[in-house]
Amino acid sequence: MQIIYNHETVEVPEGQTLKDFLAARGVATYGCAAACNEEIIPKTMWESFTLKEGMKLDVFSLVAGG
Amino acid sequence: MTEKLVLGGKEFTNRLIIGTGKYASAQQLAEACKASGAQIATMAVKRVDAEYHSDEIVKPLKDLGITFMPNTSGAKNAKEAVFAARLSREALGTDWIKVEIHPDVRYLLPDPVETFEACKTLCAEGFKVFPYINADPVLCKRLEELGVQAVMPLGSPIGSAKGLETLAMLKIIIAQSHVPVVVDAGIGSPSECALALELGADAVMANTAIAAAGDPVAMAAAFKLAQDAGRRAYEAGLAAVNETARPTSPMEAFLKEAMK
Repeated sequence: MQIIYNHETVEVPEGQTLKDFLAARGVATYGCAAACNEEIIPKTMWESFTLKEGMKLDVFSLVAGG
Repeated sequence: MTEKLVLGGKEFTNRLIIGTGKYASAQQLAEACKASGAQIATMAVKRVDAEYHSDEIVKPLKDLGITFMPNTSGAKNAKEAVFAARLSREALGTDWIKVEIHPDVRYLLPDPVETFEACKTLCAEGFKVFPYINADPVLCKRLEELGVQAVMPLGSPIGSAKGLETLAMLKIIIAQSHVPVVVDAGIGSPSECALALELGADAVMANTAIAAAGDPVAMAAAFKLAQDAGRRAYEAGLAAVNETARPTSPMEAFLKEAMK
């Protein structure tokens, strides 16, 4: 199935959890945040949150800035 | 030993807030941070991309015991700033947020209306809010009433290194404020950092002045001395400014003796 990840269409396995999706992309737990359809998904829910067809997923991290 | 800075309910012994942008590497940033003695650092929220490297700047700063002040830079309005604040709280587990809304890319001047609206929402949500604003004494008071933790008026546009061009307004803000005043943006040199603190600002934020210096780590060390000198001078109490000269040597007596 496909989801929109940070504005790009990506192919993900059926029923993949948010935690596994992010781990596969090397996204750390600390210093990052995820939002689905502009709703923030708390880290405590990453393991139980299942990705669904067409979902809009945005992932952010803290970067250098003034 | 100077008085401690109290910001967001925490005590600090150093009055410099360091911005983490523009450093050549994460290692240089960490070294500069250490040399400056800064205990607070700002950072931005960004969408993860192909360049993403886990914990690149967060971990080295965390290891130094730095308090994080994430900012909402990139937000064009209050709605985006509130979203960025919620993301950074989730990412770092901190309720500190520097509200930074500057839609104009040429001067990066903060939008006072959107900033006020964002602060209103974020204060109500329990965030510890630090708004980056123009040096507007009236806006500072309005934000203070909302419950912000400090006000962060600019000295001159971000990264311009033009120093304290808003000096007259900064003096009024410092005189009137009941929350800490952090002079942010435009600081180009250690002497300007010292000047802001001499005048009674509670802290100074610097980024480009250090990161874009010939030797950022050495410049960071210079800023450490400057913030200390500035605060010491403020606590010592500056001598009064006079329009005319005030003799410091007994010139008259000496001349009378010589003319005898």
